[in-house]
This record gives sequence, structure tokens and C-alpha cells, in this order.
Amino acid sequence: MPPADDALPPLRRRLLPNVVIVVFLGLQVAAGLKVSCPPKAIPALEPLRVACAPELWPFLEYNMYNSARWPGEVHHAYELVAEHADGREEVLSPARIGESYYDLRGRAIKGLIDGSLRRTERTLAAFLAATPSVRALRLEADRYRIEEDGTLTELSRAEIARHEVVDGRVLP
Amino acid sequence: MSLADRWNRAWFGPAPVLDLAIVRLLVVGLHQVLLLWPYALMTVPLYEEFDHAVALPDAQFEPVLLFRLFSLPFGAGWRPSVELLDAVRLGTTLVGFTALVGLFTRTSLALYVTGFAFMISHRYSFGDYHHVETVPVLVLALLACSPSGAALSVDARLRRRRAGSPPPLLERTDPLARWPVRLAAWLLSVIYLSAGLCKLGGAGLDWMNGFTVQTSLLQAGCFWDNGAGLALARYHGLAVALTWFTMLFELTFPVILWRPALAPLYALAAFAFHVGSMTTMSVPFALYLPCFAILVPWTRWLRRRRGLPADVVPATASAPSSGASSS
Repeated sequence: MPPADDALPPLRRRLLPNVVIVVFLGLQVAAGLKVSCPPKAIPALEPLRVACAPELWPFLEYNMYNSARWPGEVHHAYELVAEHADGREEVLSPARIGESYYDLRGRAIKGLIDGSLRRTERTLAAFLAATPSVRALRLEADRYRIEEDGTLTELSRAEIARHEVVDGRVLP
Repeated sequence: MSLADRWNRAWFGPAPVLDLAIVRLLVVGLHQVLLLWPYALMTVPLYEEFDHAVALPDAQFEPVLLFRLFSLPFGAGWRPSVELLDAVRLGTTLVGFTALVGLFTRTSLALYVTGFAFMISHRYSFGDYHHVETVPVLVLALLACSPSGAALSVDARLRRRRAGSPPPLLERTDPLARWPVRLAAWLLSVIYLSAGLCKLGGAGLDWMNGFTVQTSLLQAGCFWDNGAGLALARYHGLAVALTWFTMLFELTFPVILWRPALAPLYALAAFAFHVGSMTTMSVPFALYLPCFAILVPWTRWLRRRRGLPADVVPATASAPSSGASSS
């Protein structure tokens, strides 16, 4: 039921809401529907690419997870193993290195995958300093593949990388 | 009826202030939890690691529009120090408590959302960006511009003490309480439509092959050591069903603009969608969850409940709203 005219707030109180409505909706439509950043695949629209993400943040297009995936890719579930001088081995957990899971997976392990060893070193600095017996870090992975019929196959475990550790430094 | 009349009638008019107050409590409350315990519900910390961004070279610094606006007083190319960003984080946390209890609510909320916008727009001025904070920041901005402190707040209590006996809580309305709810519905509609169209635009109907969602579950299961994701990735049929749910939910979200009665259903679907993607894929969209409360007609639902205190419920619960304003 629409309000009677006398139920409307005075114009000066409606000013800010009106501005917010127009600006927020305009920017979200421009960003979300790619009006301000049409696809590169259409060269004729190149001049309209005036504000591509994240320029208009918090107004963005929502293009995450937008590519199709197919069977056959191999996916790795990594584990970081510390080798000690006495031959002992241990799988490193977030609690063991004193960091979050994000730090372990997104920094320490990712550093070994990408070859950015300084990142691994920085993340594990406290653990390596407190555990001088560590002689090497080994990255292992359980591997999985989705088959054509939609089933999931568990492949054999593999060693992905191994790096010696000397005085807290992870060597190439 | 003129265009201006249509516009005004669409956006303005008496609406319950309790609905916005509930959203304020939920949205600010969860933000405060994540400011104090960054890893609660989240796989990545949102408002930390300023030293990493500050240490990046100037060549990587491409300030987004909002951050350029923040840096206007300091000149082009200005970059904040770690100490300043830490101070903003602390100030934002402190003002969050006043926003939560509703003390100087509008000012508190305005400072609160400005603090977040400053920290996040700085973080995203180096090319990399995520969608984790967009909807929460937009909803906080709407709350800051609306009478969200007109109920369940210290401000409202103080005002009542001065004004004498106020109408019951469920009767309190404000002519500026409707537009934030409608605008949130519009923004969420454009956002989910954008997500659906991006999937179709990026991959076409191939996105619906079932392997796409199955692979996403497996990838998250592997990367985040997410047992639920890894377990569900074994079921292709389930992945196909989730694919259809996702596409249907995203592409039809704008239906709520023409059928507002469906808004709570879509709020529930959105809640389930993000809880599901959080638990099975570790997608850290926890801050979105309380935002969907803005689509729920809390006051209307509460009116149907019996046994509420006299200062909450109207004398005749089924009677129409008196339109009395508390602001």
C-alpha cells in the first residue's frame, strides 16, 4: 500500500537517501553488469572500459568460479613433513608451527609450490628457530582425479618437493 | 501521478524501525566478533597484515577510486603507514561497540563503515581483490544513513525517557526506514544476477556440466583440508543438483523486487547457499550471513507471536500500524 503524501518525510531529509539510492544502484549496475568494463572480446566496446574491477570497490562484478571445469585434472592435498637430524619425521600442523591453517597452507606450503622459499622461511621462522633439529622440509601430496563418469579416483601419494634446511634457511 | 511521486512512494513511507535495528545488531555484532577473533568463522584474516601491503613497492600501488577519495587531503600517491592502519583498525573496533549498543548510532555507524572502507580499499589498491566484504560494507553504509538506531539502542532509550510514553516497539515506524530495505533488495538482486550472468557469460551452459561444482568441491577439499568438500566431491549427482540450485537461485533473485513476499525465502536460500559454500568449500563469506536479515520482515513476524511484553507488542497485535514515528 503506497503511503499518503503526508507520510513522506520532508525533502531535506530525503536528500541523502536519494543520493545514496542513485549512486549505489548506478555503480552496482555499472560494475555488476559490466557496463563500466565490457569484455575485451568485443573490441568495439573498448572505449567503454573505463572502470574495471576493483576500481569501483565495493561495487564489483561477481565473476568468481565462472569457468567450466572438466574431468581429468589432478588435484593435490598437500602435507608438509619436517625431517629431523635423528631420522624422525613429523607432519606439520598449524598448531605445531604456531600459525593458522591459512599461514601453513597459503604461505608455507604455497611458497614451496611456487618456489618462493623466503615466504616459507618467514612463515616457519618461529618453528625453525625453536626446532633446530629440522634438517629438511618435504612436501607430499595425496592426489585425486575426477573421471569421465563422475567418479573420484585416489591416485598414489607423491613427493612434490624437498628442501634442505640450514640455520633456519630453506635452501633452493 | 508524476515520476517524482512514483519515486517517492516507491522508496519512502512509514516502515518498522525494529527491522533495521535487528539488522544493525546482527551485522555489527558479527563484524565485531571478526575484528576481535579474525579466524572465527573465517579462513583468511580480513583486517590484518597491513605490514605486507605497506611493504609492497610503489609500482604495484594502483589506488582504487574510494582510496583516492580518502587520500585527497594528502595528495596523489599518498600511502598510509602500518601505524596509521593499526590505529584505524583499533578506532573502528572501538566505535563498533557504540554502533552495536546504539549510542550516537548514526555517527558511530558512519565512522565504523568509513574505517572498514579505508582499510579494505587500501588493501585492494594493489591489484588483488576479493568479494568477501562488499555486501557487508554496503549494508553498513545503508544502516549508517537510516534510522537503525531508533530501536534496540541506547539512543532510543534516552529519547523515550525524554519523550514520555512511546508507542510499543512493534508500532514504531519511520518514513525513512523503508528505502534501505528496498535498496538492499535491489543491490542483492543485481549482485546475484551478476554472479549468474558471469557464469553463463564465462562458460555458457558448460558451467552446468556438474564437473564444475564437483571440481570446486574437490579443489577446496584439497586446498583447505576440507573433509566435507572432499566427501561431497565423490557424488557427481549431488554436484549436478547443486549446480542447478546455484543457477536458479542467482538468476531468479531479482524476483523479490516484484514479489517482496518471496524475499524471506530468498534470504533463507542465500543463507543456506553461503553456509554451504563456507562449510564445504571454505569460501569465507561469513559476513554476508547477517546481511540477509535485511530481507526479513521481523516486525510483521513478531506481531504474530503471543506472550510478548506490553512495551513491545501493540494493544491489538493484528491491528494495522498507527504510523507513529519514533524519530
